[in-house]
Amino acid sequence: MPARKPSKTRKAVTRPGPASAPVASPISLILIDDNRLLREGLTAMIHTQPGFKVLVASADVDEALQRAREAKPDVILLDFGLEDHDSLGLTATVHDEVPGARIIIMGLLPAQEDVATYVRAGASGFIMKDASFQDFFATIRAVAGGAEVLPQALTNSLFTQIVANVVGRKQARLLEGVRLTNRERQVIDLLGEGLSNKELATRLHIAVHTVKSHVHNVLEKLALRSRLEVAAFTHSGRGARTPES
Amino acid sequence: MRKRISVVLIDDNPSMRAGVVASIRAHRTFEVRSAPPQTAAALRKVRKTKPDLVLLSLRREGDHGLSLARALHAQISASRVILVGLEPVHKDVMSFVRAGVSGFIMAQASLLTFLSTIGSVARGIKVLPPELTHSLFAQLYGPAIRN
Repeated sequence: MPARKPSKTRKAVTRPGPASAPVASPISLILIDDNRLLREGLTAMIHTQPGFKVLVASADVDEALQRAREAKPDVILLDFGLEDHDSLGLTATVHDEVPGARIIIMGLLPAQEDVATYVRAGASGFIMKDASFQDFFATIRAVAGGAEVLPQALTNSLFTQIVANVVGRKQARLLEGVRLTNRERQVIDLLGEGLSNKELATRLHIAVHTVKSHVHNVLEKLALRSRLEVAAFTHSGRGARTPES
Repeated sequence: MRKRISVVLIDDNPSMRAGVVASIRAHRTFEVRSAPPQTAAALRKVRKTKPDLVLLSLRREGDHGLSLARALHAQISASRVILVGLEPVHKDVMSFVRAGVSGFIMAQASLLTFLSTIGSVARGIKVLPPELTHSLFAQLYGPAIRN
């Protein structure tokens, strides 16, 4: 079993004063959403609740990522439908680069085709587009406390994806023993979309020479000769994220 | 009058089986029969009665439950399977989902949760209790390509 993020226990701090009972420190959050109205609305709503602290609320992914690396928030709330960024790729990036933060994907619809892929990228919880305030805060609290949260409305989608992926098991078995990092799996997926090294670098928020190094490693590990072969490989039904126990 | 939901219970514990059957029978929404836990006999009974739901409640260790779930899904796919009596840490939850199981009920579930789950699954809704989400996510995250 790979290292999924360990469950965290809320830290307890003691505030000075006559009745200095231990108080749980607030859950620190970073919110990434490119819908300004929604972002500001959510931030204002979170501020009304005790026990939460919004470190950054931004549409600027690079800024938010940088802040996340520095501030190491408890939870990162990430919008599912970012217009200029791939939310799935960003989930994997955050999972790789901010290992202490737990990721919640927001704004999902019931028939979501890639819940399983988001779980594999490192998401710990999901919030539906039509979630109530109560669901919203309950999910953040649960995920910050180490639990995973799957709304009932997504269970059909997730089960269907797991059953459908049985087809890919044979090819996946062939790859047992091949060791790839999360980043390399992301690179494989994006090569499958036909992206250039420069586009890969932009999408993954890393330098072009780093992309080249990942591509080189992927080719070597999968014993393939070209990026075209990698693309063909990803379209062969295996997929880099095929679930398999 | 609405058609009652037909249920077959496959349980390897006779006293438990009697209790569960009595609990379900108390509700007029359901009609319930029981079947023996042995694969061939269980399949025969389900094939013959074609229930809406099969409740699979096997305490015996081993792969019997999994192979029975697979056989039920493959041979009598119209009957939806619910796995009953689970503990929070379940190493096979993903295998059971893959085997076509539509819902799960924890060992500690209340009668209300029990009845609500079988009602939901009968309507085509898949049910994963929150207690099992961690196990499923962890198994889903365990990649074919090892990190």
